[in-house]
Amino acid sequence: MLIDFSLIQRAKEGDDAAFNEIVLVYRKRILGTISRLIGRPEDVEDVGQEVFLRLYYSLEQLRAPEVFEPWLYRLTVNAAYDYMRRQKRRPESRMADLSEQQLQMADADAGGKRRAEEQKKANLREYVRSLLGRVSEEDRILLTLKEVEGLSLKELEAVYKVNENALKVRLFRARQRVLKAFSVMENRDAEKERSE
Amino acid sequence: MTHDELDRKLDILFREYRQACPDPDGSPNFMPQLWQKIEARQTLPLVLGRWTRMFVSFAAALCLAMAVVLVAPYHQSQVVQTTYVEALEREHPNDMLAYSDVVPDNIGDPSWR
Repeated sequence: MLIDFSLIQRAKEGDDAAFNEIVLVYRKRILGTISRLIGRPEDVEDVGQEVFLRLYYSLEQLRAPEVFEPWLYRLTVNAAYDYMRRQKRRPESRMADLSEQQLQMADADAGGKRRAEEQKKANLREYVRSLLGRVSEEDRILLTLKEVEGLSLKELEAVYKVNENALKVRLFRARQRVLKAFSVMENRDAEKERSE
Repeated sequence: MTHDELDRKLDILFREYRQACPDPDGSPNFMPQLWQKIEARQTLPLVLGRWTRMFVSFAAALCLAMAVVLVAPYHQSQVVQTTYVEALEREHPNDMLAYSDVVPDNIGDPSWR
């Protein structure tokens, strides 16, 4: 827990300064999670603000301060789902935006080594997003929270409100589907390399 | 590549991906925009409440106006308190009524009553 329970209590009682402090503490972490969940840097802040807006208006429903973090993650996951659903209605796909932005940032840097490093990272990001784009939103979000964000099973139980066994089954199935997609992508890349 | 190898490679890929995606700090506008959104949502119920009150007032005024329009002619018709025959008698001379057998022609005689 990054904050004291009393801060949550104060925010629950309508103390805006306490709420401000909570946002400042969790902002970076939540924005990071959102950026890895939705993959569109230009919309990360917007979704992040939606998460904290929902937090502000639902804080009084939080019964135990101990479950604050899983609860915040739950709000984050729901906001990410809502965003993805809205994006589905838009026809264009902009998975490569982050790499373009990163490349521009890298171009601004003088060092060639740094540029090469940025390029490598951008390629990696694009590759993983392409891989996770081959499975459902549910699988993508669950695996990102577990494998990338590093949430424990206990934390995921609280986020998804399911028991450990059900969660393990969901995680196993999601991982199998990603592995299948990963295998296809690896084989395709190997064939490409052979043909070149 | 075996399934286990692929599994291990996926773990490494996720770890590298985490390192390649640093947490963004958020722009300086993050907090002001957040508070703007919070305040905008706070004012929304007030605006809706004002519209609701206006609508209710308008509906009440409309009901009142319709009631006046509908009830007024009804009251006017209540003014007529004479019978049909009395009304005919007042409108037409006695000879005409006698002619049409509505009233006997000796209606003027005292013996008729």
